[in-house]
Amino acid sequence: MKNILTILKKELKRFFTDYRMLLTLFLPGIIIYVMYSFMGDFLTSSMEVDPTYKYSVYVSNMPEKYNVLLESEQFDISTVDTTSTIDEAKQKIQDKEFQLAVVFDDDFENKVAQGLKPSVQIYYNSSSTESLYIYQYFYQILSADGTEVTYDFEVNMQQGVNYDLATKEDTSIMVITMIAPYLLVMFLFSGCMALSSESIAGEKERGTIASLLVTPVDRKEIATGKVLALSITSLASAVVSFLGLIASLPKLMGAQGDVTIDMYKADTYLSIFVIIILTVILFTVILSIISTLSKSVKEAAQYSSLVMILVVLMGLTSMTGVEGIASNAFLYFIPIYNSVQMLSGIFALNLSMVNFAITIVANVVYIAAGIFLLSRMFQSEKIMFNK
Amino acid sequence: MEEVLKVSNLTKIFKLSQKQKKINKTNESVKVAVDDLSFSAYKGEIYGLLGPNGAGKTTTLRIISTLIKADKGDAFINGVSVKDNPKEIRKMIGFLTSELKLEDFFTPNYLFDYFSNLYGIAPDVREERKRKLFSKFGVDAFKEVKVGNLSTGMKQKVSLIISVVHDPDFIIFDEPTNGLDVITAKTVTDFLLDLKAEGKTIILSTHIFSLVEKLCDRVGIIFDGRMVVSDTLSNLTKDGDLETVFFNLYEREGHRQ
Repeated sequence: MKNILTILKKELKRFFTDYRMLLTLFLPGIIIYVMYSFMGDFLTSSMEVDPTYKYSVYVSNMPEKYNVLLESEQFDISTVDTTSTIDEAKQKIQDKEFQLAVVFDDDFENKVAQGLKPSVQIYYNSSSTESLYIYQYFYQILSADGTEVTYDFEVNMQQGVNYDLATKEDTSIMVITMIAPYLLVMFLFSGCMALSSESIAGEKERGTIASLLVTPVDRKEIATGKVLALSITSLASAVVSFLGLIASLPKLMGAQGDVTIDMYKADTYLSIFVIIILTVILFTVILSIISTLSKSVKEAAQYSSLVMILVVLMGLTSMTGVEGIASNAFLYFIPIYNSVQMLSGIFALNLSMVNFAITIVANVVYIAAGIFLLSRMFQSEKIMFNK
Repeated sequence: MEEVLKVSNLTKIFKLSQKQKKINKTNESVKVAVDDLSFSAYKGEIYGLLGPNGAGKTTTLRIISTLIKADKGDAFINGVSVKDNPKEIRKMIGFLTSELKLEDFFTPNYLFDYFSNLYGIAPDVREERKRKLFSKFGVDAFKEVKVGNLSTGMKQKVSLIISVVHDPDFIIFDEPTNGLDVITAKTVTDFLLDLKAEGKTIILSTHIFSLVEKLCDRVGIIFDGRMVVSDTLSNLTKDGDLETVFFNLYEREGHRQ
């Protein structure tokens, strides 16, 4: 019994007097709380539809009693088209010029009165949040009305009709924009993490870095050489992961219909590649700095996993899809977040050249600053030789 | 006599953590590892820094080899300041210590080329040097074996070779024979004598009296970071052997055995 207590005390002393260990034990919880609170607000706000949005709607043969729907306080319907043909209206919905088309059967009221059970077709485009939003509203009200015994009609019940006018490309873009940036950033980070935490901390632990430090090689050259080698290797690992993802995407999405990547052309892939390269080097620089500050590979891995939580949360910001892509140029100065948002923008075929330029310049600056910091750290005996 | 190394008033202070204070049973928050240390070494001589563990030998050598910085004072090799021009110093010196290790993953052949390239040695010079050194130390047969698979003695030989790839005129060895079997240790001491014969200047640290007596032209004895005496070996040992001299000094400095 006494021995148990002795061992217990020693073990607890080991854990609770080592501030580095305490940090890795308790910091994740704090970071998760802060980030999730922040993210929660962020996600709800970005999923909401702008209340001042001006809707354009096509209606055909609509009974007068439903005019109230067009004047609803929920929506600001600024354009009501009644003159186009149905096909024209559908095309406009596909092009996202219109959000909704409501088509009642001819002579609707009479058919209802005779109990002929007429029908209403409501067309929308699920790749637009506004369209989906106004569609759900119309669908709910009309289908609730249509079930009344004295006023019986069908809503969107015709077999073989596609009411969602989102194109295959639109749907694919929506799905890919939601998941690809997140997965890509995660692949990049885990590739870097495995290598970088071992790289410098490992060399410190084994004493091989000092052999390099007694040579007349410039510290900046050592730092740059290491970062580039790590980046290339991490990139190779990330590329393999990403190709695997792209190849499996059609199967992965099988349940949700066809997914195509035909809409992406060479310039899309080129811009993705630019962002990937910058992101990998930035990750490597960050992780190398952590690795250099750490006394052992294990410690470096623990600190890196804290950064991983941040990266996961940044990555999740892409889950808001096409509509959630940050448009404020200042947000593109935030490292990692800018990469995620930029990837979303590129996948959504919604690339802002200004933000793209900001992202590139900001990351190049961060990388250069990181390498400079790293070379300074290589000169610090406290960092390089303290055990 | 040409003065190659001049160490003047070198001082290095380490901050102590709470834990270290307890271990050292002191309330002082700093430890003076090297205390106003001065000495000189001359061309073609071997200078031995002799002292017990923790006396400051390794710290002194690390400052001279630019791995750490002195808080006060400076050291000069051929007139070049260690403090102001570390990069220049690194080109001139070879440094070997048990703390400088080679990556297990690579072969002696690869590492020789790698470090030669870092020092900017021309390929033909590099190959000639490699051939000589590898055959001298019997590394030839193992030159394509990964360092991790070599014996301790062979590893030490490879480290020794790597530390002189650039054929430096000034060589610093920290405890060169520590942990080596007698045969490997002899290879190392023979190499030191060869280097001396080539006119190179060597400074080494040790706590082994016989090593100093066998190799050194000049000796500095360090206690608690302070240079107690620095003189030629023959002057120091004119009244008795080195061990006796050392312990007499040790007692005189207020230490009890």
